[in-house]
Amino acid sequence: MILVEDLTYWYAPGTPLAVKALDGVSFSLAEGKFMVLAGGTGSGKTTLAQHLNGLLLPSSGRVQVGGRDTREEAFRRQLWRTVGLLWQYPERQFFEETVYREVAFALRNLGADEEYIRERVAWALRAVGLNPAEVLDLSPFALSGGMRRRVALASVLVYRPRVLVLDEPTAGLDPASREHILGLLKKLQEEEGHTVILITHRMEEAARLADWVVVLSRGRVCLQGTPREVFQNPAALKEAGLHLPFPCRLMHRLREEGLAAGTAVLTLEEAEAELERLRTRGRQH
Amino acid sequence: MAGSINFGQFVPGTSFLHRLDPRTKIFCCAGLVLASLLADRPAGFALVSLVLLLALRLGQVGWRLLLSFLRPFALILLLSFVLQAFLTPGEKWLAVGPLALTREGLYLGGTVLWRLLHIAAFGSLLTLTTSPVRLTAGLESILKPLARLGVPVCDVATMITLALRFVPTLLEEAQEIVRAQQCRGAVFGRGGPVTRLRSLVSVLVPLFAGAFRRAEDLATAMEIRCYRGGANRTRMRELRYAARDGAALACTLAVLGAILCWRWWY
Ligand SMILES: Nc1ncnc2c1ncn2[C@@H]1O[C@H](COP(=O)(O)OP(=O)(O)O)[C@@H](O)[C@H]1O
Ligand SMILES: [Mg+2]
Repeated sequence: MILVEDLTYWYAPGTPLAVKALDGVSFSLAEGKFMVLAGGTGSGKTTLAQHLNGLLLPSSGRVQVGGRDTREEAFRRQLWRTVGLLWQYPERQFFEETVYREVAFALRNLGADEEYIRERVAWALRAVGLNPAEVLDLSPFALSGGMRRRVALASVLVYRPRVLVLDEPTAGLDPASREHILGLLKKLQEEEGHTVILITHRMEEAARLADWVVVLSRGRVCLQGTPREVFQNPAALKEAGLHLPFPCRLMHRLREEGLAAGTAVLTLEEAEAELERLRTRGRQH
Repeated sequence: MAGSINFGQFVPGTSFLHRLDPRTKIFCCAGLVLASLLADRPAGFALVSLVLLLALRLGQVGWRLLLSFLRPFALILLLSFVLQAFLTPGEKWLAVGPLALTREGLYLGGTVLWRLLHIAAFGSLLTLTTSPVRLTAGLESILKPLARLGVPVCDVATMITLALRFVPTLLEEAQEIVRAQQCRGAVFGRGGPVTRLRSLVSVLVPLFAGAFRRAEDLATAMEIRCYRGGANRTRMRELRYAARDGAALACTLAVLGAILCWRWWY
């Protein structure tokens, strides 16, 4: 579905302020998979996200979505409908008077009829856990932080892009909103077959959700693989400015203490099972 | 366009221009802008263009950088040229429907284009090579005599600098919002008037909201650092003229003098 090959991107090329934000990035992602794109601040995550729906074009290398190159002019213009990008701090782009109009913006741009728009907006608001009857006529600026983020997400979901790219959608949110948004993304991927690319620096989220993890560091891919594979390499993760998720960190720590703990655990449940295993084995000796 | 440098941006460096006193640069910039406006014959145009080339060299500013600065003005410049070229009465060269390209129009349009380009270029050179802090210091020092008339010079200088400082930031933010709204299908530069208006509003509202938010943050940040406007602020680096400042000012005066002489005595 998505193919990124040797992608390099310069901001302000040829000027004294030139920055190489991406450097030889390659990965591919099959349709219907859940990918987590991780990396510290300034590692190039946002820049990469903007390449996936053609907002930025590679300085060199290429990006393909569904087999077509994002450089194709005609394809690029309609790419936003296939790849929905939720911007970082998306609530800063609000401008309408009501939540209804805000969420409907994309469909209006598509020229959909009002009946259909009404239906889709209600669906999208319900999907993100809001009650349409309560919020439709409120000003988006009057909502709490968590609700604004949900409205922003609804304004992308509303036109059903097959690929969802979300730039730190849970940054600065309360735990309840965070859980809801992550749960929704997983559900959309599992039940409706959306391809999801989640940008985050919380490795717990990667452990829980991802089929595939790509870790960026200073514009380069420093690690990629399944979560289990990636978490086998705590040194490289640390180098990239990321922490292991807690269960995995615990196992690595036990290993350092000389116990034969397996480190391929992702969740607390798996950690518990592994501890149980160690305990019973310890008793046998 | 994403990823180029915006008008008003400061680019740190150690070139001759970077090291000039900010007051010198403000005076030279003003002098050269005046020279661009008053030049009225090929020799004058050539002289001022030569000075611009020299200044680009001394500031280590490349052509591409300058062009990326001027790009936002391209449409206005082109339009003014075309209108002048076709609407000025005179000796007809080329007829396009009811309009005619005239020799006088071409000359007038060319002159205006040349002037606007040079004014924008000299202004860009000033902000490219002078940090906001130094620019404030320079403005304040130049405006100091006005303090006797009751003008709050320090505050005015700070205001001007802050405004200049935020031009590139706002442009950058506008570009980001445009891209964000494109993600929701907003189209810019195409479609009917209603679509266009909606797209425009979708950029302007967040842009203003962001500007107010930023202004508030800045005010708070200045306050908690105990910023006080007023006359008795001291600086880490006091301004001092050096020999190169004399040279730059002398050159500017010579150019301005030559242009004035040409204009009024020949
Ligand atoms: N508009 C821009 N102009 C110039 N440099 C930029 C711009 N946006 C980002 N950068 C630079 O590109 C690098 C990657 O930034 P970004 O993609 O935003 O990283 P992340 O999202 O991982 O924090 C950083 O060094 C940043 O300073
Ligand atoms: Mg980012």
